[in-house]
Amino acid sequence: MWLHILKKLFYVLLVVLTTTAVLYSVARLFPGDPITVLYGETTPSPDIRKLLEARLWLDKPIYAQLLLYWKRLFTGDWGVSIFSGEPVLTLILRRYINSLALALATTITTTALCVLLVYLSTVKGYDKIFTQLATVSTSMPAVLWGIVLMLVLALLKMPIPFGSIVMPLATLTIAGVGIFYTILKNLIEKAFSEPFIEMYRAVGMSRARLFIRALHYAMPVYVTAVLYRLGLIVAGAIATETLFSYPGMGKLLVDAFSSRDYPVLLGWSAMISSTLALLNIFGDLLHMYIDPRIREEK
Amino acid sequence: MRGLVAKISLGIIFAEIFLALLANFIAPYPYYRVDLENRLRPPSPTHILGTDPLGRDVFSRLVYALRISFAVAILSLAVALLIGTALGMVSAILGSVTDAVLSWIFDVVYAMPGFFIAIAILLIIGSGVMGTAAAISLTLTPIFFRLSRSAARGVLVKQYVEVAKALGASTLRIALNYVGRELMAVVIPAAVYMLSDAIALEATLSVVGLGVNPPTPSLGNMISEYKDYVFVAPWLVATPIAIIALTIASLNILAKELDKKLNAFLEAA
Repeated sequence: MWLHILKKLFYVLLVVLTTTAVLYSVARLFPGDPITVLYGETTPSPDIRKLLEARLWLDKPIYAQLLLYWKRLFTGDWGVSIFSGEPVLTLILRRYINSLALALATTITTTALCVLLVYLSTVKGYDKIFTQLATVSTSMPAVLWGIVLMLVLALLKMPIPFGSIVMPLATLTIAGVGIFYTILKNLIEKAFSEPFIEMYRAVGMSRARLFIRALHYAMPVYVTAVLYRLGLIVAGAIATETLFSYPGMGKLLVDAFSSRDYPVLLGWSAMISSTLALLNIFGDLLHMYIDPRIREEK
Repeated sequence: MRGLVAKISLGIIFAEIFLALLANFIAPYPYYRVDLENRLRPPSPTHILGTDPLGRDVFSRLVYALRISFAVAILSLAVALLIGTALGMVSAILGSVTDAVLSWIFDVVYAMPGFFIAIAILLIIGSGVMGTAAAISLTLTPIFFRLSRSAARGVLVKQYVEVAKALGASTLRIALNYVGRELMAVVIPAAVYMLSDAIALEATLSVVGLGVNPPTPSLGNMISEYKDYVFVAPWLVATPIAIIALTIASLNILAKELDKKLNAFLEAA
């Protein structure tokens, strides 16, 4: 089991190194160096240019720049934002926490809502209507639900709360429930056809308690599905955050792209790719914790 | 009931393609004609879907937007399908080092959120119709790769392929006659699903301010342009959103139906 985790950690490292390497090269090969972007219309004096080039290592060959960057990546010094002069690490951490809050809140509301809906559909028999609603929910990308929410608020003559967590949370929940409802419902239905549930039913357990047993059985696969999608939530959140000006990683990315802020872009990709890869490992561990059969296998 | 829903979906998609193909004959006004006297007019007989903040006819723009959005989606999907499926097949059939390297590359691409790749591509190529198509196709390629690789591996261990190999069938023959054939049943329904993903991705990119550049209309950039007018003219943004929702829902229903039909056909054959 430890070997398995170690292997996975090595994999995370490789993913982070590759993504930053690719991005770094792309950023450097792209026309328009950071100094020109920084100065915009004006041109810096040759002395200042030389100084800045030395500070940004632009005077070194690209592989040396990359090695230096990797070294700094692991010592925690991620450079400063070309645009605001703020250290990249603090800038990213602040936004990262906001995004994490959004992702966690979305996961909790979505899961809670899904369990409730699946309970109503499998135990109380509201299956048809919820399946239709799920189809409606999945028929639009998350951002468009955000615009629909804006439209509803506009028709109700209510102000739209830009910058707060409410709108992105509502948007991502609406978009997420459709997907996860279908996954969870299929899992629970499969559980209900298992012999052990039949046995509990024969013993005379109530439908509600049977549902809890089935839920326990379905959880490992559901958790894996959620964790797998958490990356997609991060991605879908990029556009939604931008739409509602929520100060998370998504908005940071779009801002950094439009101002060509390469240190921030690199930090962003290192942070997100390692998060996604680590979540993958976390999913494995959680899976092992919930399901003892897998623990023995590995 | 199911059959009827599928037929209606097919009808919607055909109607949209028809509108998109004949956009220049159907649109009552040029999509770029500005008429500042008649800005933000609600739907009326002269402008069936009203006019936008620059006085442009929304219906005409919508018809052209369908053409652009479908063109971007189909182009990007075709590229992703060809490259992804071909590489997936090669990876599964050749195995060993080729497989390891290709899988590694696509794993790295897949580890980043698709949207990030799309944005990075747009940064390199520049936004616009081609840039958007390239961005979307690179996001979809790893999915086709994984799908076709695992499906092809499933076919390769089947007994009749082993027999064909023993009888001396060449690798190319096995690839085209056996693997390629069974891959169709997996890849074609997936492609219809992903057509809806491509349309969704175009819309998402546009809302962030990337994607097809105005004044060329696309479903996505119409939404992104008109979303600022929700308080003044809510019908403006409602129409393209409704069209996207209708399109994606129809495509998903069709993909499910196609999946069933193709599998039944293959089992019968």
